[in-house]
Amino acid sequence: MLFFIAKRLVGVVITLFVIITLSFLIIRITPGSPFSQERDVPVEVLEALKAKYGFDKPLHKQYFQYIGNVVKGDLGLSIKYSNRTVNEIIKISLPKTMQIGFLALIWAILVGFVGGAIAAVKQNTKWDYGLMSIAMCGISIPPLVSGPLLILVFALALPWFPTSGWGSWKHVVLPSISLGSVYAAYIARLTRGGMLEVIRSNYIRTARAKGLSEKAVVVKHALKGGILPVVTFLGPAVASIMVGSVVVEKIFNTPGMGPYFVDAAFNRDYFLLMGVVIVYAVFLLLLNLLVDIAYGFIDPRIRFE
Amino acid sequence: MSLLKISDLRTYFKMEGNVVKAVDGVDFELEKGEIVGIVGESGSGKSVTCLSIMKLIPEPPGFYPTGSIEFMGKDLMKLNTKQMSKIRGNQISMIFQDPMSSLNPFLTVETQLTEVLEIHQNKTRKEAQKIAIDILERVGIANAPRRIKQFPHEFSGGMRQRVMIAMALLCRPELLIADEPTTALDVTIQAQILELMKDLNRDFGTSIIFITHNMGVVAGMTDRIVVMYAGKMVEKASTSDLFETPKHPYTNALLSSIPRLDIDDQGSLTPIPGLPPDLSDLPSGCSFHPRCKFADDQCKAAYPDRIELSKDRMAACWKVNV
Ligand SMILES: Nc1ncnc2c1ncn2[C@@H]1O[C@H](COP(=O)(O)OP(=O)(O)OP(=O)(O)O)[C@@H](O)[C@H]1O
Ligand SMILES: [Mg+2]
Repeated sequence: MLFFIAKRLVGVVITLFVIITLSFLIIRITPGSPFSQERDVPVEVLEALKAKYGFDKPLHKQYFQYIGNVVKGDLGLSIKYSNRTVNEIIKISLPKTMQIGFLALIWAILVGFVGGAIAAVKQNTKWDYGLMSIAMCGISIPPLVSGPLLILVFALALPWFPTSGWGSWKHVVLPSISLGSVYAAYIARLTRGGMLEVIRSNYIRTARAKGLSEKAVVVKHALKGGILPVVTFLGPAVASIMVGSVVVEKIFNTPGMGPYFVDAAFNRDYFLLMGVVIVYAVFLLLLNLLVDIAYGFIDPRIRFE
Repeated sequence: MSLLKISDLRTYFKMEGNVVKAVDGVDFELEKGEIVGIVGESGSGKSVTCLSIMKLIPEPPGFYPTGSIEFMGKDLMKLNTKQMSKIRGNQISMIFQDPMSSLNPFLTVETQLTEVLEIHQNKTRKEAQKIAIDILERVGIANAPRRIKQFPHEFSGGMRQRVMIAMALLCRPELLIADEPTTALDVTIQAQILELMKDLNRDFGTSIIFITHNMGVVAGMTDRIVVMYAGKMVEKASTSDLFETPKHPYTNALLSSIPRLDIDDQGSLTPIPGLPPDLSDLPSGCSFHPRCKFADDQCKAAYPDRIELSKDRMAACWKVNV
């Protein structure tokens, strides 16, 4: 088990290295420069700026220097916010993104799993049809649509939550729901499918034959098998939630990492862009590892090798 | 009074407009300590009969148009789910055809065994664990205190079937239903499991309904036999009568398809020609007539009456007295 985790961690580091290298290349090879917007800058000033960020050196030198800094935990200076380091910006914005992302994930798992399980247990009843229709709607409404809708209803028509910004727990609710709903819907459908398959299986018949109550059959014998497809889905789901959070943060004007990511891309803010990419990548890789470990804990037939 | 008395049991399934008559008129009785065999080809309704006794048929699509199942003075057909679950695993237990998929892969053997005692006998986990280990040893699982902590996938097929048998016996049920308990196992393991079941019947006086499509297996196990064909009971007799003087041509055909060690000439082994009918599209008259070498116009026209040949001896065939 520990060996498995260690092995996977080595894999994470290697993948991360490849990601950093590729994004460095892509970002630097695409035309444009961080300073191209400032038209009337004298040549001397431009040269001085380039020297400040090390852009006067050959690309491979810059690359090795950057890698060296990243290993030390230094993500460099932002170009647009010229007196702030990338570390500083991420330190302030990452927790906000994480709050929204995790809340969205938890909401998606809770609602999706409970809804899906109820639909499966009450297959072909009003409950099943109702829940699955809601799920169908959920899947077809992406955050780009659900965000403004939620603002219209729960911030403007009914003034329960603020429309945008950051500050109290109330600011987190609408963005998380908007972000999580699609995944709640997916998870509900997956859970229903998984549970139905389990409920038809021989070992559930055995559980009934033992005299267990219907509730015990579901809770003790069916849930574990039914949750497996959901766990498998969590890896990709986390990835898309992260991407989705960029959109949601823009809509709700949340000072998370999303807006920085978009702006950095437009402004050619090389180091900030790289920093955000690295943080996203680390998260994704670690969460995927976590999912694999969870899978092994749920299913005893899986051996960690 | 007999332990179990099944009368006119019918179990149908509603499938896309037509009705599949999986069990269509089964009657038999079982005394305490007796072993009754149910035989018939695949699809003849053996498993559905047993699942009906346990009331484990999914409803819908399944339903019971007629029938009563009297068990220790109660009609199981009249019980609700809650009353039924007090009987399941406690007074009537069942062992299934496929031991590989019948245990929950996500729970340890211990959890799966002890929960039976916890629900039916209010035992604590500790007491239940002790009983479970004893019974695992009894069914021939070596190293039971260690093995009980393992998951099903760590057991071989034969061992899993032993675990299933142990699970079924935890509450010392009056009745054990064994649905082809050895079909999925290889021959030497089969013999061991059959031996084990005979021992348990002798030592605990557990009555057994033993299902198989292998006539060779029932010969050494059972006191009486029910023969099923396409959902209907076609013959019923004591094991010795059935083997010595089979009355129904289908029974006869089943018997001559057993490989026998005492006859050298393997050429005499004749599989039954043709296939069992589609239950939603049964032939007219006797369902067996298309495959029966004695069939005539009468057999095609009407389903034969049941002929009571003696007490506990019945055959449903126009040609019984021929
Ligand atoms: N849940 C169900 N829904 C619809 N039809 C069913 C269902 N269960 C069983 N049947 C039908 O009932 C018929 C009898 O099946 P059953 O399982 O009792 O046969 P069997 O005698 O046990 O055969 P085998 O030797 O293969 O186990 C089959 O034709 C099957 O299609
Ligand atoms: Mg069967």
